[in-house]
Amino acid sequence: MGARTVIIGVGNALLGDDGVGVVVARRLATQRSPSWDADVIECAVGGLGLAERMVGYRLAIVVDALLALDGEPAGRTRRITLADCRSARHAASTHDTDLPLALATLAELGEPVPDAVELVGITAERMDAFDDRLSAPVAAAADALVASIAARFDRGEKRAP
Amino acid sequence: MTRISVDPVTRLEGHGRIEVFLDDDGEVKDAYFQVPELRGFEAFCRGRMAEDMPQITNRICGVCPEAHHLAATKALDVLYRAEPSPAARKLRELFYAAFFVTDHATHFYALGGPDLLLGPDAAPRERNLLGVVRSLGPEAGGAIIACRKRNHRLIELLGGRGIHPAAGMPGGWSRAMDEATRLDAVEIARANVAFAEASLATWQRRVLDVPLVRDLVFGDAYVIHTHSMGLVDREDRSSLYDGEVRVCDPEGREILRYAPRDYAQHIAEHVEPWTYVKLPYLRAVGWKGLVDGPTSGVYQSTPLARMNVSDRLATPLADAELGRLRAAFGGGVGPSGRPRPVHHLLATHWARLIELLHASERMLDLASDATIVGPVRHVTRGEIDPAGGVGAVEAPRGLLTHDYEADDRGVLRRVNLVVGTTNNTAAMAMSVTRAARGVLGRGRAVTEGALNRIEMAFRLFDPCLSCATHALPGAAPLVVTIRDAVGAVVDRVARG
Repeated sequence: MGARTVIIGVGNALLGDDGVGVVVARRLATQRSPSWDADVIECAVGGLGLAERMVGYRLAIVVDALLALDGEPAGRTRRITLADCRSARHAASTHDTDLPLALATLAELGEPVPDAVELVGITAERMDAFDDRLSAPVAAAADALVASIAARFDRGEKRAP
Repeated sequence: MTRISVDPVTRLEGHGRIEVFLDDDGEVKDAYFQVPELRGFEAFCRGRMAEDMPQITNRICGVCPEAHHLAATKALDVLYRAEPSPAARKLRELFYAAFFVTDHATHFYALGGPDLLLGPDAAPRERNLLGVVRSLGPEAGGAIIACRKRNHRLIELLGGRGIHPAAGMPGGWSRAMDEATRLDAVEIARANVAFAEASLATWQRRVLDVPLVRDLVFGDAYVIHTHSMGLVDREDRSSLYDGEVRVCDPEGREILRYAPRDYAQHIAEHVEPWTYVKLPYLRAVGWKGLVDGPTSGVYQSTPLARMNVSDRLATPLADAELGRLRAAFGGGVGPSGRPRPVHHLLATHWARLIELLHASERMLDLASDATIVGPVRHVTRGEIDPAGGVGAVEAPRGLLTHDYEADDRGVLRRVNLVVGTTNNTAAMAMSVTRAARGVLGRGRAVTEGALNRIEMAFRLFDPCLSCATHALPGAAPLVVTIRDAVGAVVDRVARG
């Protein structure tokens, strides 16, 4: 039986803090135990491409960089809802459409989209220049988030036998 | 002067902003799009190994990684003096055609098409992919998703990975095709041909047969007469994977033909204060400003431009459809003896669907060729051509060129990319200005429908700004700000 949950790290790992979702996914992929009831993948696109990767799972956890708003410090981890996802660049990124609309379209066509989508954002310090490193506050936030998600699946969200 | 700012442009990868400047009399003076700059890609690459470029450049952007992957791989062919085998070349082209199918299909149904399929004045909440699916029905909607799914699967099978392909290597392709995959690809290609034909039937039914929408496509609100550019094969047929660059003037005359490696001899870049994106133009014609006509060096590199430089297309169904497009706009032969170019920009959507069919037919040809199953790997001798290597492909949104120079160990010394969208910077500004003049000014209210008609002038180019520049705002809904001559805000409209 497949996993109930998919953890998707979204972003561009060559664009500084924009890559934090990808970094988190890569580290979770190396840490995950076979008992986790979760698959871990990377994704470079938003909208329909992101929504399509959630099909078949009951829960999707999306990790992405967030733009800091109004003086908000970098490295802050925020849980946001689908309704908020315009503030997440890749979740809102739209070669095609935004994430809520993409999920609604797939649902309309009978595709098994998740019952729930959790969006976790880490506020970025810089995403406007090519760089394959995270800023210090974002790297620290990524460490904490990896530990938190790993503990959650180590603790209880096991794969069904 | 009054300024109207549309920020961000909705439904585009990377969030641009359209600025419309009104003069003191309230008439549209100029209109530009602005995008924040993404800095430092060339510097990021210098000092890295050239052979890593197909894996690095395909991460620039999530929208066209396949195009960057192949342009980089082709540049390495030259840099390492490594000619790909016939099977490798066919496999690359098959992979690339599958990408074109899924990219063009997505644009038509999700990004650019809804304006026409649902009408430009449909409620914004409905004028999107979901609205299209509800309007066309579940069978057509399911076909769109199925098209993406089967082609993504093939891209992953051929490219090694789903999002960031990994198979390109100097002089070859790391994964040979087996017979079962070839037969699978034949079926995928057949399904694509049927899908493309159905999409063209939808275009006929929902655009050409609907007077209001037809009038938009054939009217003069979206017309600019620029030069056209595209890769062509030896028979002057559009060629997405390889070929020579052909440039035709607004009357269809061939004025330039060159190997992609010579791009710098023919293309210069103009800088304007309102955008970080450079404006390429034809050196031989010169920069005359944001104006059209035969004496302006502004050119387009789009699906419609590729049709304009083609004498015909290499596959029969697409060629017949090109004939229909040309006939619809009057047809005939221009003073050059070539088919008259089409300058009605909304026909770019039609041209995109013709390319969808062309790529599908090409896939069928390639997959049906048993010799595509053959040796594809190439062991290079590691010798670097000191002159460097240039690789070019037609990306869905314009000609993409990668240009590298490396030292004798293969360490990159110089990197230059000219990405698809950048080619069209000047033409996009002119297209937006023309559309704005049609719907703004003379004291007219700034309505949602008016703004959307301006965005359509931009969206038809299918611009992908995330590698041309990048997206920083992202948080705001569409905001329109109107400022008076001294910059004070006199009105602000938000939507989205």
